[in-house]
Amino acid sequence: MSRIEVQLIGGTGTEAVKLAPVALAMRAAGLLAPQFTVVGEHFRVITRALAAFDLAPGVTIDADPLTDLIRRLDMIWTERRPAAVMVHGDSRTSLAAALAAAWRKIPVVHLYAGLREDEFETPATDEANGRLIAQVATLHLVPVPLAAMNLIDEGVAARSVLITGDTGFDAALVIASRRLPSSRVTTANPYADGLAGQRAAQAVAALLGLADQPAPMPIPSFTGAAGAMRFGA
Amino acid sequence: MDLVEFYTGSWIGADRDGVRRVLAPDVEVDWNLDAPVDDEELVQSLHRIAVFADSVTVVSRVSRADGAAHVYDLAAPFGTARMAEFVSVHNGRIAEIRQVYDLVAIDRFFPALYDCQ
Repeated sequence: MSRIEVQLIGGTGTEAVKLAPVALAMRAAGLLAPQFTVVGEHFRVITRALAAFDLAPGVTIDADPLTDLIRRLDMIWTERRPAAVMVHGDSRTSLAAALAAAWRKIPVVHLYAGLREDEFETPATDEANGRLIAQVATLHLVPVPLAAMNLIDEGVAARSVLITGDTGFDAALVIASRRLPSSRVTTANPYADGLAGQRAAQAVAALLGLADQPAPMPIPSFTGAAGAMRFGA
Repeated sequence: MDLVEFYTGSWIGADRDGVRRVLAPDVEVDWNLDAPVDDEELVQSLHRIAVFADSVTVVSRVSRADGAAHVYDLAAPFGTARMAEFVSVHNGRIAEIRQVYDLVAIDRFFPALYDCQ
């Protein structure tokens, strides 16, 4: 049986690195087929970043402005419709992909959602992109509890928000284990436990009816609101 | 000028009759504003935006045979809110409109959008 395809959209090396642990976890679970779509001028950087995780782009699109990118993704998804689309953060690439998916009524999963700095100067800021992505996303995967609270303040349903932790730390662990097999990486960040990619992958599988919801990330008691922050349960 | 372009030009130009003319009688309307919506409420809300805004700019428009996707910047006196819109066309009329607003910016810069209802 062929696995269900989920497209992960990246326009920068950072996005690729933070999406990579989710793709690895999807592969490992064997339920979903992650497909990287690389957008824009940073193709070589992204390809190099993905190669560090033994991943490679499946589709590349040389388009940057919002309109071109929505058009190109819409054309691709006319022919080959994924079960879900995952975008990262608040970039214009992520906004274009989220809108193109929403247009086709493909579920949008937003990784690194909910990070806010109260930017309102222009509608073209990353934060404005993020606020609009939040309104079309079906599933919001956030690295820290504050991001979840930001989304709920914006009217996002708590049941669609999951604190996964930081997939960037997962990526660091993967690279460290490959380059320095005897090394031990630790962090003081309580939201970096190395399981963020697994939680994100399982949440996507659950969204598509292929798995149970992942257990919520344990919230350290020093946050003072642990009981109120266990979203996604 | 195609149908969707006429719709866009009509609402930005605060022409309510123009908007009504291109909507199918059973048009499906959906938005993320915290208020119920039907075709007439859509027409009135778009009119309020058009009248209140300093300018409405279509920053992105993608067309296909059965509809279009728009991204608008709605510039109010104290700031700009963004709205995405997906329009479907069937039998020469607009059959479906889905609007997605930046709710935080709308609440901040278009406070009268709800109060007028």
